[in-house]
Amino acid sequence: MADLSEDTAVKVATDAAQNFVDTFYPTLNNQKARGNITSFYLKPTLASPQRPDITLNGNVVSDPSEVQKIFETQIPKAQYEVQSFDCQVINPNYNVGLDDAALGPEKDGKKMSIVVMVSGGVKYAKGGADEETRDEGRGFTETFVLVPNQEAHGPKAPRGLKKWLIQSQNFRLVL
Amino acid sequence: MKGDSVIITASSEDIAQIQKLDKFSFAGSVLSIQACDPPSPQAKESGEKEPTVSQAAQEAKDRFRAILAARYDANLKLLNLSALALDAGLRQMGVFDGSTTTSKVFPAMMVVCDSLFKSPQEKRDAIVSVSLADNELADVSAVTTLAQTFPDLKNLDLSGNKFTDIKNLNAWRWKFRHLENLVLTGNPIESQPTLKDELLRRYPNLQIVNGVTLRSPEEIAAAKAIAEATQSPIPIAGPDFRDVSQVGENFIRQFLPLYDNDRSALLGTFYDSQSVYSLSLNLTSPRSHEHSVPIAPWTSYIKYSRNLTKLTHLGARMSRQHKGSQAIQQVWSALPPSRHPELESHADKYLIECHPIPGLTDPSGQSARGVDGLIITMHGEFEDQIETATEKSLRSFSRTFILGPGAPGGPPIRVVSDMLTLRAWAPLALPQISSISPETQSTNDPEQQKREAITMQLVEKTGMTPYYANLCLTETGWDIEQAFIAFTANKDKLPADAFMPGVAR
Repeated sequence: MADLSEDTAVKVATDAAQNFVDTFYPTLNNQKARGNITSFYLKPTLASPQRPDITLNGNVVSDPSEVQKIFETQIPKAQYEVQSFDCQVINPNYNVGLDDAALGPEKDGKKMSIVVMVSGGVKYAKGGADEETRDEGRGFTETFVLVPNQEAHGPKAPRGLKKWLIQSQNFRLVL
Repeated sequence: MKGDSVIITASSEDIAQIQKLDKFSFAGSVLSIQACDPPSPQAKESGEKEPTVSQAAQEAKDRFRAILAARYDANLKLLNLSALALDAGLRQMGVFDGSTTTSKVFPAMMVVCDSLFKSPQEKRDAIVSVSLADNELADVSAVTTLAQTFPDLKNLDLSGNKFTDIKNLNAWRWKFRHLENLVLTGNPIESQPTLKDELLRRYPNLQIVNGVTLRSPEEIAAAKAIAEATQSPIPIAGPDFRDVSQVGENFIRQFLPLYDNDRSALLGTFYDSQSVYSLSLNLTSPRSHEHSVPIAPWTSYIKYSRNLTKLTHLGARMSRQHKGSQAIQQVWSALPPSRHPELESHADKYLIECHPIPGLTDPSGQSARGVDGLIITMHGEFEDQIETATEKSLRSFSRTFILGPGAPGGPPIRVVSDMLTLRAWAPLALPQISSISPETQSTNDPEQQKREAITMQLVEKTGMTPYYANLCLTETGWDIEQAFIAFTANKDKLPADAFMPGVAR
């Protein structure tokens, strides 16, 4: 089997990153969609017990459901805007949690781990409607590691599943 | 903005760029873009008709200089521009006499003012107060350029004018972010009951209105802290730095000075043929009204930017990531030299976080399931070091590194991935210690509350600021005794701002 070529790797990684920022932030921005937040994260299984590593403003969040809860209960309204993002392939053959039979290389870029760094702005609305906000917005940087969603890559995989999931997330307000 | 026209100020390089938009259609209208008379000294260099014009201009400039010099009090650092209409010199030039030149004289005077200083810092040092008293002003439109020339004024006297409503001051709504003292006595507006509240809202550092102290610097600082905290629904905690055997810490300590001083040595120490580097620019990042320093041009960086919101073609996406020390060296040698603040003495200029990640390629080829490494995200600032530049070019950055074990025969620790993103400089949002504001104490997290209590104990014991106490505790695993030992050992190396004001060290 031919190895993963450089252009396939870049194409698949940048498409994955693009698709990720295009779906993740709108989910945070839309209060009705926030119930889907956990679907963006890697799910620990018995075979692959690894949990996603999440840090928001220096606070370690133990579980994706906690992230969802923070957004549902602490953040009345938020508007995240992606102003810049970049990504790189970390490992073309990410084998964490795979069966021995599945450890070989793969040429379509389906087994990569990808680092994505986003720079943007966010406006948080306050609870009170009468509150006059300066509304300058704050700046943030957020770094993700995306890894393949095994459930979406098998031969019997159901359609519509996310192909990449968050293995690591680090969010910081920088302004 | 005047009628359908917008007047903007731009550097000569930018003007050439902006002029390319001349005759473009926008929102149904055709734009007409013209360069106005540049009020800069460079104007003299070009054009043959210049001598006669610049002779008159030079004369006017000299007269302005004489007038300004007579009105400057170096002891008080005060530029007294009161009662300009009574100034014999200015009357000759037609300031505020109702003629058509009125609107031009004040801005021209400001331009001359500007030209007297080599840098904004010099200007800030020379002039902290301006008086525009007794100028018959009904609004600030004729004098609005004061805010461009003296954005950092601390004291402003507008007494004895004709302001009737706060709206008359709207052109300065977002200006003068450092204003501490404002005088509006002798204006009809003076009697408005809501005036003071509105002014305090507009000017975050305003303390004194019409000679009455309305709030102290401490109250301002506390209000800011509350505002900051409430603006982030997710509390801003200190850095989460989960290192393994100090690999991350050692890397950062070596990386910063080497990147500034010897990029080839840095590449030899931590990068190999598989390391990947890319750079992306965020040209629309939010900025703070309070710290609106000019943005240094991005010319040297822009051609390398891999901002994927802009860069959509695969070819460009491929060519703007750089694999291997040699390719990275080429880019780094083309980027301007840099100066990062020293990590030990300027810890408050950085936020650096780190945690382990699994599943990196094993460069020795032994483990098919990969090896563990670290992901480090660093936020901070640096300055370009360009000898010819007169102004500082501070930039804010975030940089993510993925570190893993090196290949046999190569560096023991290697950079797998190095991603840099740059944005216009703005001060870093530093962790808020909630004990200074009652509002943020309502955190539900008992762990957080416990940490805050320990932080305050250490603050009392050492006299360090809560921020430094937090740093110290974070590094010692939140053990107050260990933290105190670490403090005692490092006390002499801590910068002055690590301590609460008035604490004897």
